[in-house]
Amino acid sequence: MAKLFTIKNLIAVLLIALIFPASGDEGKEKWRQFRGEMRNGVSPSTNLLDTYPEAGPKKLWSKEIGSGFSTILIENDILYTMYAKDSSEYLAAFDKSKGTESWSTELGKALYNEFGDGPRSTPLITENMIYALSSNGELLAVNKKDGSKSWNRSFNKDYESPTPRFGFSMSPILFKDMLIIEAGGKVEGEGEARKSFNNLIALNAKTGEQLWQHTFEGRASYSSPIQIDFPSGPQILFVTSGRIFSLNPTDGSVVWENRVPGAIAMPILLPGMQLFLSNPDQGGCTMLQLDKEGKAPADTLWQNKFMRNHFNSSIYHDGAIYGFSNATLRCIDVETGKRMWNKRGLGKGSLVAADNKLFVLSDKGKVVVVEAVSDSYKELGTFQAIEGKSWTSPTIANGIIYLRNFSQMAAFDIRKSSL
Amino acid sequence: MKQLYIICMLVIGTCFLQAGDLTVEQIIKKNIEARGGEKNIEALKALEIEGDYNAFSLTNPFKMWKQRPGHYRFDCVMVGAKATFAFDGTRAWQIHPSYGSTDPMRLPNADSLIIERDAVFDPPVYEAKKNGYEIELKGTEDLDDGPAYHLAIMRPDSVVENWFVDAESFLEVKMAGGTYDFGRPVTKEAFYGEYKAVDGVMLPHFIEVEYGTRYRVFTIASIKATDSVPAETFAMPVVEKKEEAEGS
Repeated sequence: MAKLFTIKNLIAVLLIALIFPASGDEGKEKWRQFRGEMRNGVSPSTNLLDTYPEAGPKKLWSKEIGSGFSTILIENDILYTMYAKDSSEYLAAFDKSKGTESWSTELGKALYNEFGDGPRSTPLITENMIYALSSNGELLAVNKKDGSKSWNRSFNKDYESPTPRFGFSMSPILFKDMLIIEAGGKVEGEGEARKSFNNLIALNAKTGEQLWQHTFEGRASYSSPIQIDFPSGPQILFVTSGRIFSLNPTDGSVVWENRVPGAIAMPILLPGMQLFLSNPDQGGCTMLQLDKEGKAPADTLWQNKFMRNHFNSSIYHDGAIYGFSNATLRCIDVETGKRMWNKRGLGKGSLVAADNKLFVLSDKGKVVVVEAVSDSYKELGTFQAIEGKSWTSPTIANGIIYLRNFSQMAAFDIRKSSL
Repeated sequence: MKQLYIICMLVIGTCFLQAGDLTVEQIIKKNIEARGGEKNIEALKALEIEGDYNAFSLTNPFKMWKQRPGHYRFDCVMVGAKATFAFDGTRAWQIHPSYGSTDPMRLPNADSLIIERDAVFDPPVYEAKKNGYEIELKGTEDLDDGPAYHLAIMRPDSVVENWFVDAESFLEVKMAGGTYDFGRPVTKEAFYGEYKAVDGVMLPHFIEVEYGTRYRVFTIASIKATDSVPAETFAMPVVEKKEEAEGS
């Protein structure tokens, strides 16, 4: 036994650790839902490059796919995303090492929109299934091994919901064996008597059977829910129709609600049960203090216009919020809401975080790596990863960054060991 | 050592005093001089501008014409379709794909005000001085590229434009104010850079504009000063009424 702890053995272990760092090589990291495992845009990858060669990091592959804005998911050796081709939308699986498509499943007819055709939502991977929502409201449960359909629901037919102006864009969340999502709702009356309804629903993930439904006056939003674990139990929080609805996921009852500006960006849960919301228009951003027990409406801590997320969400890291205030990359202080730094010139970009760094994708496909610090903007490197309109936020898992522009996917190795 | 410290503090202090000590009149004068001076500004009659225009994250070529007084035309591509925004000296018109027609049309009132404003030809501070608009010095602010003088210009229509004049070059680097987007009032910020001389007048060749959720970038390749632009450039084209097909 004592022989195990010789200096020789210790050196060997250290060498192995250096050659095969904890993150990256095992392929264990997953990104199975919108904004990653915790739905917060933060990847567990570490040991990522601190400096970037002029030509960029090692490009693994790039691949033409159809149009769309759905983010890229990864589990084990498979990538998943959605796209539109010809007149249909598809969910597809790709080999992560080469980007080769292994199967695709038609979701329904494609959404045509002047700002870009195709899916907006990001699928959700569970143990055996993958759930995907088309931009025209077709929700499908698909076997992730071969893409075979298990069940489907139509928001147009089942909830009489018209397709929103920019398509159904919300990404589902899983709670135990329930798939929870916003489904939109019917429109009644004409002119001033016109009323729109919205539904927050839970479906049996195995069968698609509806388990509960919360109906209220409002319209389908473009924001996706998060789960918050209060001492009193978990709640699913939606920001839609000018309100926060915090629901008991077991029966869909509203535990508490707040009036807030409508938002597309996802709410962000911060330490101390604070909740950050951001609105693209005049509302700006709001920091709420949630009731510690999760039983009462939240209190507003501060509100300002420094962070106006449009269609991409912000990131929380170490006391600061980083995000795109419309087309300006900005850092604001969590405690005060004060603007810490700005960086213009990246357009309406998106970002994720990993290894104490921000990986920012400009709306023209340029990756900018920034140190995630609030005192000043510190750029570590930049490279032109893809070309053209790039509105989809990146995915990072196992030290690889996966990017997508409007019609192309690409992968780059950003591990320190890649150079 | 102590003496060196005092000297350094005096130098730094003097710099701050210089930045803070200018009167609004002095800043206006320096801005107009930096732009090329009244004589050169007044001598510009019309401009033909070409470059790239970025809208909705797509970049396409654009052409723009400006002519005193209040004549403007901007031809660009938006979401894959040709668009025109123009002011004929009296009224604004547009060809806007988002309105579902390729026919020219008069603009709704609020949006018309934006085009009318875009047609203004003079540098903002010079325009304000010439027309007697109230200009207030609000102080200095640290912008991304250094300190700038904050001038608030009160226009006669009660609209306040906040202009930021770089403390070193005395050229405008930022504007903060309001505008309209499909008739809805929204905040606006514009950033100006890459100034180059055109017939003795310094004009920005890179302009970033954010208003509401919009983001637009003008990367200007060339600005040509000219004596006049043909009148038909600014006039709204007459569209012949299409006869309805029999039985339709």
